[in-house]
Amino acid sequence: MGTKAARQDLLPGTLDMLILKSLSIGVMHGYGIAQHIKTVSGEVLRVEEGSLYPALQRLQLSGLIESEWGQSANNRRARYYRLTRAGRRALGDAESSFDRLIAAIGRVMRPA
Amino acid sequence: MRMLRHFSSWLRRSRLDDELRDEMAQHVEWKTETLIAEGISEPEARRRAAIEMGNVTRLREESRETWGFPRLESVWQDAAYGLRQMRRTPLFTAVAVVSLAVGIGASAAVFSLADAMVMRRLPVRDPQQLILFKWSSGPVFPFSSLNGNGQQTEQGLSSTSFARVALDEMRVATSGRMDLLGFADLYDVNVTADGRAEMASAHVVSGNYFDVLGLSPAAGRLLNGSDDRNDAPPAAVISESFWRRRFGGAEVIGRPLGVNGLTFTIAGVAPEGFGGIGQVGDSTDVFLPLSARGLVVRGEDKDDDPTNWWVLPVGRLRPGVSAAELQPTLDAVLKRTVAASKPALTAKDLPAVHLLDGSRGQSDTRDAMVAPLKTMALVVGIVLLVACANVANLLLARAQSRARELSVRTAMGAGRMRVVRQLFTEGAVLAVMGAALGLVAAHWISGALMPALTTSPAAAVPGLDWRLVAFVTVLSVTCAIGFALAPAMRSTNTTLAAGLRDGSARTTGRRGRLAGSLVVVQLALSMVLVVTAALLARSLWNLDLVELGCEPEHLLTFKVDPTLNGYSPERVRALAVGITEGLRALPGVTGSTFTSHRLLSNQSSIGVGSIDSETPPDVNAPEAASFRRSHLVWRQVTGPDFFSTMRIPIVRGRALDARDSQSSAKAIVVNGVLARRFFKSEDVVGRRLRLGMSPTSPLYEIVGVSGDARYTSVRGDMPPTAYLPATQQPLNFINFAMRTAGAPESLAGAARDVVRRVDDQVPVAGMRTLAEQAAESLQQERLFARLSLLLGGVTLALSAVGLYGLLAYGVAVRVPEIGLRMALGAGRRSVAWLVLRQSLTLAAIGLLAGTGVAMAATTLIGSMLYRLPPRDPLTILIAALIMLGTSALAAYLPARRASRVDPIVALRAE
Repeated sequence: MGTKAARQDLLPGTLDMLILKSLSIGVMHGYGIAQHIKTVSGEVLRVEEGSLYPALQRLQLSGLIESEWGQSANNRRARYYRLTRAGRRALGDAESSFDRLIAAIGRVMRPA
Repeated sequence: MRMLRHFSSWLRRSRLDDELRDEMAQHVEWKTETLIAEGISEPEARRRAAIEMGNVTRLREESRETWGFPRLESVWQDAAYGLRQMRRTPLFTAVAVVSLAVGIGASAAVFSLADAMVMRRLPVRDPQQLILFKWSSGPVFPFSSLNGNGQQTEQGLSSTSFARVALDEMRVATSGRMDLLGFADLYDVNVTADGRAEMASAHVVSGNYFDVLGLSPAAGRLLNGSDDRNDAPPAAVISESFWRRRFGGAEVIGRPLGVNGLTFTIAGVAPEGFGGIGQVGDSTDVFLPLSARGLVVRGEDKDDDPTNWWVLPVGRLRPGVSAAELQPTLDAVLKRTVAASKPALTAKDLPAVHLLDGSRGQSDTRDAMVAPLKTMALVVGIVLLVACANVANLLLARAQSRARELSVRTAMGAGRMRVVRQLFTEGAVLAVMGAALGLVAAHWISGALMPALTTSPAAAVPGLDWRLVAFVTVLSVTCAIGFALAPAMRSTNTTLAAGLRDGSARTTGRRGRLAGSLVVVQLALSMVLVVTAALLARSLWNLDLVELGCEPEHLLTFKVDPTLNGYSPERVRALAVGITEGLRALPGVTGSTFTSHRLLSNQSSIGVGSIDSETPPDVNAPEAASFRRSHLVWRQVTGPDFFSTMRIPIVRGRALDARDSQSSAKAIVVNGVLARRFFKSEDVVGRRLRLGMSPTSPLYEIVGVSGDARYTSVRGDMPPTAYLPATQQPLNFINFAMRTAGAPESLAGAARDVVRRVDDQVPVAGMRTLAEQAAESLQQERLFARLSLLLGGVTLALSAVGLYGLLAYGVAVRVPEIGLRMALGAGRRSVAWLVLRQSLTLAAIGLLAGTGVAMAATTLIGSMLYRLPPRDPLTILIAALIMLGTSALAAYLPARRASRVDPIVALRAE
C-alpha cells in the first residue's frame, strides 16, 4: 500500500525540491507547476503529472507550502500553492546540498 | 505543530479528498485543452492526458495516507472488509455471533455473580484491614447455646460467635493493636411505625461498630458508645434502603420505631449500600445497640451468660500489626474465659481461635456458594469452548473456501502477516459482536441464575460495571486469538501454487484432521453437558412425581410471629384462634387452620418417640445415640380442622377436634409411616406414643391415623409424623392456611385485614399458596435443570452445526471421487452411507471420550440428584442416543447431497 510512485525519471527526493523551486518564482496551481518543470528543463525531465499531487499534500502537511482556492486566468476554480517561510528555508538547504552533490558527482565523472 | 496539522487534516479528510479529486480533474482538463490546441483530436487528447496523469485512484489513495493514520486505518479497513464479508454470508455470521454470545454471555453472567457474591468486599473504609474470628472445638462443646454460623466438622464444631465476656476480654487484650467490634443477627423482628407492622431484619451492634467500620451517616447520626449502655435512651439506626422502602426517604430522625413491641428513637440512617457485615447478600434493615439485645430478644439465655455464645466479633488491625501476631494472645484469652466458665473441660477440649480475612464479611453463605458457582463455571466454560471450537471450524472452512482469494492476495504482494492480520481482524470483529450481544445476555442470565444461589430477596442482580466489562474484554480477546489466529496461520500456510491450482483438494488432508479433531472435542464436551442435563431433568421429573399427600392448590398460607412481641402463650393461642375464625368467616373461604411449622419450607420440630411397650435408654447410655437416630418423630402442632382444610385423609379413627381440649387426655394423630415403623401395624388407634427421651416423658393417646403427607420438603423420605392439637401444646410461630373456593390470591388482602382487626401490632409475612411454596422449594432444582437443558441443547446444536459443516465440506471436496464411484457402480445408498459413516464415527469417538469425562464430572452434581445415581446407566444411554440421533441428523443433508451427485456432471468437471 505504501509503494512509492514508480516509473519516475527523477532522482528520488528531487520532485519535492523541483516543486519548491518552481514555487519560489511565484504562486502557481498544480498544472502550472507541471508545465513549468517540463518547459524549464527543456522537456527533459518527465514528471508523471499525477504524482505531483501526493507530493503537494505531503509538502503542505510538512508546512513548507500552503494553498488556497482561487480563480484561474480563464476563470476556472483552481488551487494555488505558495511557499511558506519554512519552505523558503528548506529550498535554500536543498539547493546547497544539491549543489554539493552535483559538484561531487561532477568530480567523479570528470576528474580534473 | 505537525501533529496538529496531521490531526486536523485527518478530521477534514473527506473534504480534502473531494478537493483533490476536483483539482486533478481540472489538471486533466487543462492538459486535454493544451493537447487539442497542439492539433491532436479530442479523444486522443483525452487519452494522453489521462495517461500522463497516471493512476488517479492510487494517487488519491497515496494522498489519503499522508493525511491519516495508515496503520490504524488499515485495521479499520480490515474490520470494514470483515463486516462486508459477514453481510454477504449472514447465516455464517449469525451462527458464529450467536454461538459466541451464548458462550461469552454465560461466562460473564457467572463471573458477575461470583464477583458480587464471593469476591466483592464490604462497602466500608479499608475493608482489607478487617479480620474475622472463628473458633473450633473438639467433640465436647464449651457452650450451651450458639447464635453464630456453626459448622459441624469432623472433630467437632466451629463457629464465629463468642460469649460476651470473651469479646470484652479480647478487646482488652489487644487494645492499641486492634479495634474490636461486636454484632449479632436478630434475624426477623416485628417493626412498627406509623401504626403499620411488618417484619424486618435487625442486627445489634457494639457502640464502636460504625466508628471502627469508618462509616458516616446518610442522615442524622450513627450509633456510638453512649447508645450502647443499659441506661441509655433506646436509639436505632435504619439502613438507607429501608429508609427509602418504608418511609419513602422522608424526615425520620427523632421518630419512634417499634421493634418487637419496644419503642426506639430513630437516630440516623446508615450510608447507602451498607447492609451490615453479616453474610454476603444480607441487607440489614435496623441496627440497634448491643445492650438492647436482651430486651428485644425474649429468650431464656442471658446475654452475659458465659456459656451463651451469641456475639460475632470483627477486628480492624492497626497499621503495622499482623493477624498472626495477635493469634496467640486471642487464643489464650478464649481458652481462659472458657476454662473459667467450664472448669470441667480438659486442656485439649478448649476451643482454638483462628483469624480469617474479614474484608468480605462472614463466610458461611459464601462457602456454600462456591460449589454451585464452580459447577456453573465448569458448565459455561464447556459452552464457551464448544462455541469457540465452532467459530474456529467455521472460520477454517471459510478460510479454505477463500484459499484462492488469499493466494491471489499473497501473489499480489501482501505479506503473510498482513493476510493473517486481516483474518484475525475478521475474527476479532466476530468476537466483539459476540461480546456485545453476550453482555446483554449476561444480565439476563445472571438474573435467571440468582435464585439458584440465594433466596435472599435483597440480593440485587449485579449490574454492568467495569470489572464485568474488563472480564468480557479479556475473554473475547482470548477467544478471538484462540479461534481466529490458529485457523488463520494454518490456512495461509499453504503454498501459493496449491491455492491457485483449480480445486484445493491437496490441502484438505490437514484441514480435515484439524477440523475433525475440533468436532470430536465439541461432541465429547456436548456429551458431558447432555448427560448432566438428562440427569437433572430426570431428577426433577422424579421430584415432580412426588405425592404431597395433601391438596396444595387453592390453599393460601401466611405466617405471623407474635412471640417476638413478648406475648404470653395464652395470648398467642387466643390470637391464633381469633385469626383462624376470622379467616373462616370470609366469603369464598371453605376452611381455615394453622400449624406450628410452615409446610414444605424445611421447618420442623423433630424429637424422639417411642411406643408404650418400650422404655427409652438413659440419655447418657452408649446406646442412646443410635436409639435417638432410629426413633425420630417429626412433630407438627395443628389448629382446628387441620386435616379437612389440608385434605389429608384420616384412614383410621378420627381427626383432632373439639374433644381434645386443654383438660382432656393428651391426644395425637400419627401418619401411616409412623404407625408402620413404630407399631408394625396401622391398627394403632387407642395405642399410646411417648414423646421425649425420658421414661417420664408424657404418653399421647393415638386417636387417629392419617394418610402420609409431606412435611418439611418434597425431597427425602416421608417422615414419621405426629400431629398434636394446639389446645394442648405451647405455640410459638403461627402459620395460617385457608382453603378457598376461587383463586386464593384474590383473598390475600382480606386475610391481611383479618389479622389487622385482631391485632395491628402483628405483621403478616410470607403470603403465598402452598403450591407456590412447593414450587419454590424446588426452585434451585428446577433452575439448574432448566439451565443445563438450555445450555446442553445449545451446545448440542453448536456441535451439530460444526459436524454438519465438516461433512458438507467433505462432500463438496469429494464430488469427483463420489462421481467416479457412482460411475463404477456404487449405489446411492452406499454413497449416503459413506457420509453417514463418517458422521457416526466422529460421534462415536466423541461419545466415548465424553462419557469418560461425564462419569467423572457428574459426581459434582450427585448431591443435587433425587433418587438417581450420578452414573445412572439409563440416563447415559438416553444421552448417547440423543447424541447419535443428532449426528445422524447433521449427516442428513450432506448425505443426501452426496447421493444426488450426477456422475456425468462430476466427471466432466474434473
